[in-house]
Amino acid sequence: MDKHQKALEEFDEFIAGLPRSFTDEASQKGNLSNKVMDFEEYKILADGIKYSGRNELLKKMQDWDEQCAELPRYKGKTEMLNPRWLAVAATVAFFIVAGISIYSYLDSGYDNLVTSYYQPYNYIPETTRSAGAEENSIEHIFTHYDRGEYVQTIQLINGLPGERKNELTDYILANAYQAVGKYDSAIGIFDKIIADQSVYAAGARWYLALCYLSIEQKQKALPLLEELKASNSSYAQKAGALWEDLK
Amino acid sequence: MEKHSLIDRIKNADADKELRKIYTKYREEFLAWSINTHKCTEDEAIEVFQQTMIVFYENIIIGKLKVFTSKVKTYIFSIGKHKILELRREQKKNDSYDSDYQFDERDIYINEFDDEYEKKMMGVENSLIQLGEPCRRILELFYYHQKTMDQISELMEYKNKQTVRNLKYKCLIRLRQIFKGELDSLN
Repeated sequence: MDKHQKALEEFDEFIAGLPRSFTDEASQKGNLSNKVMDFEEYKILADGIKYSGRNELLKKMQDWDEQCAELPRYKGKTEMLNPRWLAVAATVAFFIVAGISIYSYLDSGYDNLVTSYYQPYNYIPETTRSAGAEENSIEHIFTHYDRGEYVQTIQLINGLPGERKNELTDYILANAYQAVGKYDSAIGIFDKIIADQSVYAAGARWYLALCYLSIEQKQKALPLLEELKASNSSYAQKAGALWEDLK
Repeated sequence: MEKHSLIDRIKNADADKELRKIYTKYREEFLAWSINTHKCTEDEAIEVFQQTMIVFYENIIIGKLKVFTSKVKTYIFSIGKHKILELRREQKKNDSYDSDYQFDERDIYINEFDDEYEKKMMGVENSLIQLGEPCRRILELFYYHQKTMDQISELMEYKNKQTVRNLKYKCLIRLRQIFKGELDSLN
């Protein structure tokens, strides 16, 4: 790697609070020995990029405001205190509350239901699992999953060679996708697990149903829940309860 | 578990989608609360809410907020309360400048320093616009959104993280050149 690039990456680590590779010389002088850029200059650029990123986000929020402009907007207290407008304000307030409630209900879709029923799949490790699992070993990947590090889990499973993938890695991968909100990817894998009649098919049906609810496709979730409800699986009871809630 | 997943989704998946959901969910209630309880004007309330959401997002991406110990709404409103107090302190300070404030030479230095810094920030922002894509996005994803090289590589569909590392370096050097030109034109 180019020594200038390496030097700038030391600055990156330094501002990220990882000063382990930041050389004494650089930290003492506040300058890089190769003079590609001094720290003060670098800091201004890094701060400026953050400033720009923050402004971008602010612009997005202003766009969200505009896109929501059709929603009833809050009116100031002074205006409402004007006797002439009291009656109008009360009516408007009623419609605002009703509008917001209806909007929230419609907008949240099945979010509340999914939230109350969804628990990420709890992988129970095998008793033979070694404590110091090697990097990229299946055990190591599942350790990431156990800790809720779903993105790393996805990257590691996707990086496995074909011969090391199996129905369990597929099932864990689909669950990790669901946990990070990548429902389309999760649905594809759950579908395959069900079609293959894997030992994880019942779990796949349950999580697939929740994925469909998350993307507002109740009609696809219902038959899956119905099937589970009539089965002997451990998911039967909660599938039945969710099915009732949806009806 | 759901709360933990929200942080995870903001950090690792579609942050815009999640932020927008939260933004639209609490906006009206926050505005009503800051106007009625804290006597903000509607414009102030909107500004405070947006600043609050920025702090909320930044606390997640820098890892300050790892898990919610209270409801999301409680957390957002407590940031908002601090922001309103900050706004009031700032206004009080400005009012005292307007009325009976005793002139102090040190204030000139502080104000000039603030202005100078602000000018530089705007200079970098303009330079980023001139720098264009994909550099601007790579730099913002790395420095503002705190994405790793792997995440940027996945988001922007680059071959691997080494490609992103090299590009990021070149983009920063190019940004520095443009920014220098920008500063020269200002001086």
